[in-house]
Amino acid sequence: MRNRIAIILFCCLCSFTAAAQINYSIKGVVSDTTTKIKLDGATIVVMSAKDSILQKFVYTGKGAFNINNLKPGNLLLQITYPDYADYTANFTLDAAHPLKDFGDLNLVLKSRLLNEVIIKAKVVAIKLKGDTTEFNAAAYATQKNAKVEDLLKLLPGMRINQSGVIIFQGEQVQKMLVDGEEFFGDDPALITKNVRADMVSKIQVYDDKTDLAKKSGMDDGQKVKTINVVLREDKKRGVFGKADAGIGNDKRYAGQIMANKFSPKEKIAIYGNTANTGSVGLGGGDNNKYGGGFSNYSFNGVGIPVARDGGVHYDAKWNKDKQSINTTYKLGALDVDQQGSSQSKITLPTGYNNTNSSSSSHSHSFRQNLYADFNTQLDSMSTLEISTSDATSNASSVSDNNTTTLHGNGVMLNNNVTHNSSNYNSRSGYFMADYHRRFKKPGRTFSMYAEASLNHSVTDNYFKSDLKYYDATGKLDSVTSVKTDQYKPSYSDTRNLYGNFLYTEPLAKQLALSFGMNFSNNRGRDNQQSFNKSASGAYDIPDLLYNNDYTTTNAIYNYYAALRYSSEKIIVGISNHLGGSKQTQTDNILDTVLTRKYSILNPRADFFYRFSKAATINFWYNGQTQAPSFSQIQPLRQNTDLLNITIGNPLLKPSFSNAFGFYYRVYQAVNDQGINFRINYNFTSNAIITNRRTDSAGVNTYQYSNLVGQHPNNWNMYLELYGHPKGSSLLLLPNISISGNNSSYNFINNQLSANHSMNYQVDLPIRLGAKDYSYSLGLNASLAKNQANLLQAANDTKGYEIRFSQYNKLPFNFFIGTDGQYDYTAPNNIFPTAFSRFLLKAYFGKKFLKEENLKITLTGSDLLNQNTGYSRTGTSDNFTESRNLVIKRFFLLSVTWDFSKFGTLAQPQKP
Amino acid sequence: MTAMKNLVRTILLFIALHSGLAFAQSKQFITGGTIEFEKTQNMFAIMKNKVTKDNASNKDYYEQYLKNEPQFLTYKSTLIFNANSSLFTPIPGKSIQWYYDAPIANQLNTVYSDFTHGTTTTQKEFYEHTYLIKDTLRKIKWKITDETQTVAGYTCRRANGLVLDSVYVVAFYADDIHASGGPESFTGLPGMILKLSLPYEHVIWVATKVNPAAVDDKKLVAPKKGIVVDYKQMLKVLTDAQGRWGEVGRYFIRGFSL
Repeated sequence: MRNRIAIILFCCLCSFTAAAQINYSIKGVVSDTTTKIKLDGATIVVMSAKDSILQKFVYTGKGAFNINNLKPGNLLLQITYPDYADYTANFTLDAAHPLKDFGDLNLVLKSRLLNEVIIKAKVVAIKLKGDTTEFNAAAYATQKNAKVEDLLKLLPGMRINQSGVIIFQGEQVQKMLVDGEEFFGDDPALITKNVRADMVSKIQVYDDKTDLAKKSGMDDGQKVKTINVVLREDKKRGVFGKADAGIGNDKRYAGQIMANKFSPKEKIAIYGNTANTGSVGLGGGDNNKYGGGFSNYSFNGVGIPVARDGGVHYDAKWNKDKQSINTTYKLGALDVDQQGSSQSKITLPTGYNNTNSSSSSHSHSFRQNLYADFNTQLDSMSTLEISTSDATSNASSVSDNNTTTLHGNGVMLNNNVTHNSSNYNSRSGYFMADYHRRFKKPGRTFSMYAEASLNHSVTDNYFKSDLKYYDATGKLDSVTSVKTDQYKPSYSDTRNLYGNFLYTEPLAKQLALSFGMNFSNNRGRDNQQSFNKSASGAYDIPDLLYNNDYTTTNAIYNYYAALRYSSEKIIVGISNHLGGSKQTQTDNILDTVLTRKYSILNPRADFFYRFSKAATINFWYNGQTQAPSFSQIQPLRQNTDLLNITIGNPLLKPSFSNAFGFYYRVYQAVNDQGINFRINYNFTSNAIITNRRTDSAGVNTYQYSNLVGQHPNNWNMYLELYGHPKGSSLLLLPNISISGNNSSYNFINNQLSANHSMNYQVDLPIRLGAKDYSYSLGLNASLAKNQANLLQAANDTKGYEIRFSQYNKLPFNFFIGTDGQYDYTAPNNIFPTAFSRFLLKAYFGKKFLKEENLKITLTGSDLLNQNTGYSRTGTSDNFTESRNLVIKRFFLLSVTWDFSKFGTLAQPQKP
Repeated sequence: MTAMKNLVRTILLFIALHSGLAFAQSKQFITGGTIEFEKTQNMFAIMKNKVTKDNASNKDYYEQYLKNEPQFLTYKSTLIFNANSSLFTPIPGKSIQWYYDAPIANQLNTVYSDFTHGTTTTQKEFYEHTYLIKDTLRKIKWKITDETQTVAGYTCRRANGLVLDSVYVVAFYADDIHASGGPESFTGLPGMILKLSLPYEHVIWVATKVNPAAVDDKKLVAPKKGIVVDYKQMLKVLTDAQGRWGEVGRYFIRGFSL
């Protein structure tokens, strides 16, 4: 048998030699020296004598061997047999001696080592892991002392707009984490401006579930675009931070201190900001976690802000990470002065009205909050998490407003001058407990979750208004004109409770069934009183028409079931909430009770498929019952804006929305190129829409109703390609987004207005960067087509935008950079003039010290002084142009000191 | 255990030789079975291979790796074989952080070798693509030495080789196993390769267990999935994809080719 194999092998090896040539061959018999017994299966190897390169080999059959078709030359025969000493012999084959015997000769081997060229390797830049897109920080060169913000700007698909909002592939990033944990709550600004780029190993972007969905385990179909900043192992222990102080003309100043101490088990961080440049400590992503009122009184780019804020963060793990705590305390004060004017055209079926208004206000707010979260493993199978927060907010504001409404022909309709001064105090608390238990059977889990929140707010409001109506000829109608001078104290209390439990049972290795239920009970009280001034000058005459006192309750229960299949290639999930809601609204003044019941349905499905390592698709559907709000059913009666009044509609029914999404991703690591393609579509049945009735006096009355027979729907599509031209490190990221509002509806004076719109946008960003320079250029063109059946003229808007930035390191550690944005909006039927604006910022400075961590910079913001605070908006309902007081050109000279010291982790290095 | 086996074998052999008993020729050669390989890679050295003057970021990663990660990583694979063919299959192991990664640090190939026809069918993972290389068995210039070593209880002879015209290979093959195979696509020696090292690539395969029980021939089938190419076309794919990296890509191309 072995012999036959050997012959086959032999024949095969020899088959390359032409048969016509001389057959150089050897043969022989191998035997045991003492016993003369033939050795079966001995290995016969023929090598070239010169370098002992293997030519052919064969195993003996009953001791005999025969090798044909050898190459002529000096050869070496080697015979081996287990546990026998090797036999080697040199021999020569040539034309004279095609068959040879062998002599007793040994050959010394020389090994030749090869010198290799050591070649540098390039790192892979992006990896798709499940639905996560992971960026390798090392693939993107940043300047020394750069922050996460600078790194994010380099990532394909990532954009940071002027107000600091991070947009990834056309969608806003809402949450940011460090190593999967919250850092200063989940305020992105405190990570992007604080954490150093050189500490980051990876940036992960994914669609997370909402906090409630994650804790309750019940998928509500909502997605929270999240960035997780993964730190490098060797930068998890250290101290870092920065101090920044700047002073400018026009009394501008900015100061910032951030200090952090990280270790693998503990993070301590502290920050403080003060500025009136509108650039720091503002617009942070403070979310609703801290309760109502916290998001009020924030700065949205309009007005002149003075901000002072600060905070402390601490998190720690101990006892083999079985317990952990995460706490944040933040406080902040913000003053904003606003001044502005606006002109609006209000569409009517018969034409339009014009509204001109001017306003000014000053507001001050002070807020603070404390958040703490504790997580513990009760045993190897169960965990308990509890968290609590407490927030207070105090604010005051004074505002003046003057609004005039005219007929389209210029005849005066009404004029309202108001003055408002208010004080607002609110306090809210939140408590949550979450229990999870696993069982011996993998995949079997049980969880319970409960939360309670309380909010109490008090407002004192002094309101004055002088409202004048004019008749058809533009003469003052003194009969209907109203003067108001009232004190309006109000308070609002809410108490929300939520609880659920959920059980998951694995049906098979990859299939799991979950079921559970949840319930919530929300109770609120809104009390608002109005007092007129009496002769004594005190506000002591109640105005019963504008007194409100409502108690609302909303009790909801849901049964939940979900089925989920997950394998490496495919994940499929379906789930449904089925339940009911009972709302009651009690008018404590009129002593009437309004009770309503709804049934709730929230089916959803999602599908994930991995085609290959490089490409994935996601598809999802989410259907949801949306109950009308109390303010749509029965709003508070108010007289603070008598020109715009909302009345309730107790006959409102819930609407049901259907949303579909599709997402396709492909990334080729080889060429660092990829495609992202996303489509969303949704339609609503029984949609709740507004009806605006504008009467002859120019008063707008709004009421909500269900739309019958029509389904408002809209869709959008986003396609992004990215890659490098051949042989270049230039990054091109062309992307197209198209969104269509196939039909949205509203009523204007009881006439249905159907609105269609299409938005096309093409964007071409180009980037080039290395350690010493970076350039980027973005070209954007957009076209919006709007049509509404009540509009006489189509309102199409064309525009383009050019963005660019440049940074260069100069000799002697000097550096220079610019950031520019040019916008152009073409004239159209509504706005007859084109609008263009060029915002240019430039900076120049020098870095000092070995680590270049001391920096003096002179920055000129809005060098061309074109930030006019002008903006335009248009809907089918109205068109508005507004002008606001904003921060204009200023120069700032600042000194920045970055400090960092990272420890080394103790791990012995082997050579 | 192994030492014990060796001792027994040596004693038996001693008796056989000196007593003149004739059972030496009845030595059973192995012509089929299953071999478990363990691949050990020196990540410190592999990481260092990626560092050069003009790639500072890799230096950071190298230093970071030195501090935090183990020097050696091991991966398992199996080779089933009979006298005519073998099938080498990697067993997926702990994945390496991709920024530390290099092709040589991965087990990219499922290799079917047909010794009878001198052909191979190799399934190769190249990033997101899977290729199926159908070609003759890879030509390796083997130089036989007289140095021996015991691996997994078998006496192995050292052979030094040159693969891809430039990569230095050291193999230890067992005369006792009459199949011309080895880990990955290293074949062509007059016995099974039980230990193979690529000294300049800093990886080594060592057989941890040899089970001489014959395997079911039905299991010895070539992989079928992938884009069919030959070695030349595969090299073109690699060069086209990574040639853009210039010098940078060569280390990776070599790693992918091995």
